[in-house]
Amino acid sequence: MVIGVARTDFEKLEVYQLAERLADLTWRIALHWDQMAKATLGGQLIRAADSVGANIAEGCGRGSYGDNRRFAKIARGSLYETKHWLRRAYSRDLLDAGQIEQLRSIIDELAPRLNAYIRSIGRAACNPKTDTTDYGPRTTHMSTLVDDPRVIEFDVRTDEMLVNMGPQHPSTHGVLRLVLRTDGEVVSEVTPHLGYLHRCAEKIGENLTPRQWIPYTDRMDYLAGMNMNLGWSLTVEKLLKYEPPEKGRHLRVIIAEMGRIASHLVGMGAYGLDLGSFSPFLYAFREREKILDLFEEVCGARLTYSYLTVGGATADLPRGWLQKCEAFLEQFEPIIAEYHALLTTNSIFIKRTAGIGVMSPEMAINFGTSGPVLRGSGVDHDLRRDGEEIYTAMYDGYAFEVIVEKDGHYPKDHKYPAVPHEAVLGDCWHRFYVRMLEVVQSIDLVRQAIDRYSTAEGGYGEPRKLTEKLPKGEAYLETESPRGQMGFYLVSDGSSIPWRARARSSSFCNLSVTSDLCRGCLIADIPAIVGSLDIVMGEIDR
Amino acid sequence: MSGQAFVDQLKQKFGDDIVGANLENVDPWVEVTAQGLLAVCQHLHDEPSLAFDYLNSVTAVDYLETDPKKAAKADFEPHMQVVYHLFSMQHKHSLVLKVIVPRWRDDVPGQLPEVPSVAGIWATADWHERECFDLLGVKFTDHPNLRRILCPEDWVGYPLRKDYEMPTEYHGIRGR
Amino acid sequence: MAEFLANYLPAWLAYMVAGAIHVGLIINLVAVGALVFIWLERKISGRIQDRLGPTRVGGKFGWLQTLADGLKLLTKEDLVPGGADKMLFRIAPYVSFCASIAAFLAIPFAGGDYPFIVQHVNTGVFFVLAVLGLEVFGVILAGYASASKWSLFGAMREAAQVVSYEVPLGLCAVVPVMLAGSLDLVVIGDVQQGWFTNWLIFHDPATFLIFWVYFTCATASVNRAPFDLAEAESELVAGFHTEYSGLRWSFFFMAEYGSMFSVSLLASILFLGGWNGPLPITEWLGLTAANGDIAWYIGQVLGVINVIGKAVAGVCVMMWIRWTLPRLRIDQVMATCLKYCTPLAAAFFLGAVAWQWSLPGRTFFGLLESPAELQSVSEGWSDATAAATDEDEPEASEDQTVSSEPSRKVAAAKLTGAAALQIASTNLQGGK
Repeated sequence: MVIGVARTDFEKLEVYQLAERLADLTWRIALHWDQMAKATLGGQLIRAADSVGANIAEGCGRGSYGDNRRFAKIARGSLYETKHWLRRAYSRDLLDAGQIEQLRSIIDELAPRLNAYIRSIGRAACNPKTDTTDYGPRTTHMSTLVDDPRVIEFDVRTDEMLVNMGPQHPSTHGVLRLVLRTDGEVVSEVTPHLGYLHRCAEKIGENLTPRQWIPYTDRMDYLAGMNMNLGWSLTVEKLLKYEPPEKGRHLRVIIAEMGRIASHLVGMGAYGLDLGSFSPFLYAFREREKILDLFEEVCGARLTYSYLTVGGATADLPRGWLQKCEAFLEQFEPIIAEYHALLTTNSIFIKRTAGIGVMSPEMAINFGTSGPVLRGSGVDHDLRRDGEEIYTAMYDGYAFEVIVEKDGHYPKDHKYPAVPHEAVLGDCWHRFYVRMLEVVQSIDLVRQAIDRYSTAEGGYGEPRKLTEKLPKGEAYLETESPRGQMGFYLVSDGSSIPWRARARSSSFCNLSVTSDLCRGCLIADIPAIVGSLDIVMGEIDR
Repeated sequence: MSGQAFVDQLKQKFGDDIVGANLENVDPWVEVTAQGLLAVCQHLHDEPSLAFDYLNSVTAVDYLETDPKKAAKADFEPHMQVVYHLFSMQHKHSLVLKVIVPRWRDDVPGQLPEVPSVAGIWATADWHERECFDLLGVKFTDHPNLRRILCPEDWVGYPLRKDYEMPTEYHGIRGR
Repeated sequence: MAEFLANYLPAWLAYMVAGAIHVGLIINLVAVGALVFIWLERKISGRIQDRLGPTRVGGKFGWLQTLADGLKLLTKEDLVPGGADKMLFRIAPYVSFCASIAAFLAIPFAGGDYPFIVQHVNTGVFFVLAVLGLEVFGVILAGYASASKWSLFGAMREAAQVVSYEVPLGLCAVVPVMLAGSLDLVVIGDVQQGWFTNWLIFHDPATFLIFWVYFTCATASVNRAPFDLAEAESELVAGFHTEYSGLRWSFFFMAEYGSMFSVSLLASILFLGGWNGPLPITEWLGLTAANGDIAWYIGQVLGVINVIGKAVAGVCVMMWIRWTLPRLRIDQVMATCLKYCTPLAAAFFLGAVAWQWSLPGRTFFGLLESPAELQSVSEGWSDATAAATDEDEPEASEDQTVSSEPSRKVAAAKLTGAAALQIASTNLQGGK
């Protein structure tokens, strides 16, 4: 609530109510005077008394602090004038003792309140404790009112403050808005508000054929567009009971795992930013650019690919691409050690992330989290191994371990930096670590897939016809996208356009734990925790 | 978790609350009444041999044919299906539950159909049910915080319903 | 300069003209320094991050980039938020900037009998530290007056941080003061004349270690990463200057770079020999007062280049740190100060005192050159007769210093009267 600007409910002001009472009382008193007194003193008195309230009201309606203050001062002048006329009336024996008592009680109260009111104009006042409904931008005015005479402080009072973090904030990863209730640096409550990037993707999906909806899936998790394409394509293929040829499956593994590397690079770099370390972000982007170059060569786009599609892919990999991809992996693999030096094993980084935002495996499962967030809590679950047949068939025969701390240690297929003793399973550090290790694992997977792809026979999987009629029925499929389990639900009534297309977002569930994880942490921990969940708002708001 | 035996077992335990099942679909489903939903879900969650501890998704599908010509031929009555996708981390099996409710409670437009909230069993349901309420207008009773989540608080209507019409204006922004 | 001008002008006018010239020089130094540092920061961060940094503006290396930025900032709208306390909001950047500049008033750029300094204050260390602490005032004003919660958070953090880091910073600065026996920065600088072995950082192991504590605390007290909590962009949007734009914002920026420069200057004077190079080049070249005014002047200018070079190196290290490390959390920053920096500074201070007490007037390198002396000292110490050390040590050590180090002999001979007196008295006091 803001006092002053554009306040229209002047009726609720106590000063105004008192002024009304004063005006009415003087009127009633003067009504009984004789003609002479009415014409001289009475008129003046009533005019003065009426003018007090009138000026308060006019000031309120003016809509600027300056005007309001000026009119309130005029009201104070009128009050003094009223006092003068009352003194005259008293000295001319026009008032009796009871009336004087009544008038004095009003004036004694009105005068100091009017002074306080004048002082308070222009100073926004808000009381976050009582103000729980309106989180609008106007409440971000903070109370700078210190000398309100009505408040007597007996003790040092610390007040809670509502702070809007986002939707325009450097570390809320897009347009997430977190309303923090803080007591100094300590956050007692975090309420996420979503929907700033809602683009009605599901409604659009009900009006397009599945292949036409592929570009819209790109724009969900725009950092891993390939994996989104793959999820939707597989869902449609599940309903069609279609199996892409072997070569197409390996092609998809190459592309999906490269997408995972690119996405985790952004996640890693952005997490460094959240913690105030700028350089790893650019190192990550430097490598990601190379992946995007490769993707550009494959499909002509760098962010929203629409490459993998129902049936397989829109085109085969260009000639010579595999060598370039291998060269990239060769060059990229040693660089990961730099990231570990700058972040994973950096002692300040460990201080900022270890033991922060600890999520138990039970909680992780109960909240439906997935991907690195789930595995960071020590839950051994990866859809590439545990998913449905149609998805796991892609990874059939591939050698890979699920990146999760099992029996007290992570997989030992490569030399990974040691887990610091401060880290607790399920904290921000572990979530980050799982992501970093998955990058190495994806490199392995891509290499295996390249080998298989180059020896596989047959086509890469021609796209299905754009307006192909879907069988009646419904299918739900989740795939392991970089941020977690991305689910698509397709209901068909037998036409070529789905009856209902739904996207179950992984970040959506991952974000839902924020309120619980952030309770009682410091403000600086909020970016650390939210960043470790690695959300993409495009996917959450769809 | 989709065989006839499983359905029979559930039927035996919950009787009429298990309305039916479709085992031919790609993802077979079991249909539950709104009244029996909570008990069934609690059982699915707690029973060690089932242990559906992971709720993938809660959503709804609006069945209404708006085109009068097609509506005459449609093979369904207008209704709303609330769909639950469950998974078990322990046994790595999944299950689809459906609750079929009228599009409007007592067929009075504006009266939202009611389904008990499962947010007490799976925390995932909290936000998913909010989304479902927001976009499809299903009221989840006993939900801890049933507010709109993607649309603004003062949005009118439920966009994913088939008869939804885009408002012509929202706070001075042209809609159509 | 005032004395020189007084020959031609009335005394009061001479004083004012001299003051105006000095202040003009200092403001230019800070402003141009900020220009260079901002460009340098862009270049360094660019190179660290595998980028080129600015390349176009002003031809080679984009050296005019900052000027272009400055022009852009000039043309930006001067915004004041509706709920802000307008007066305080407007003056806050100037308060910061003035405090940052004022510190340069007492910082000498070359020593000797006629040091290059605006106002020769004989309590220079104290003055500079006190004035540097004033910068936080502008930040708090800015945070308070902005009517933004993020600004308020930034200001409160800054207040807490700077106030706490003043303590270890002061403790670290006391060590050179103790060794030189003076609060006068000119004297402290002159004490370190000659080879780099005379620098106070190499005086003894304790001073070597305390230099790093000083550097940490200095980084923290000027709000550089990893201690830049007051403007932590990932948490507080931009902290205390969230609501600032245009030229006012750039004043904060200049104040930040100004203070970085001044703490680095202080470090170079207190620990790194100030205007005295690693090698006594000015003496070799004969650029001393003995060879006439012009030679002396050239020597002084070389000293200015020397001290500024060291300070710039210090600033570069701060930049290097900034672009490498993540940011600490506020409680960790306070813990670093209270649990590590302050006790360490205190311990090293005691270490320096112990060294000075047991080996008065001796430096670490001086000992290395005469192990026999070390032997005798330790024997003398084991006798544990305070009276004996009192009488023998100072003389012995001074003889030793002069005889064992030719360069030092030269240095000692050329020492200005006041400084020599100071050193002598220090050694005497150290003995007791």
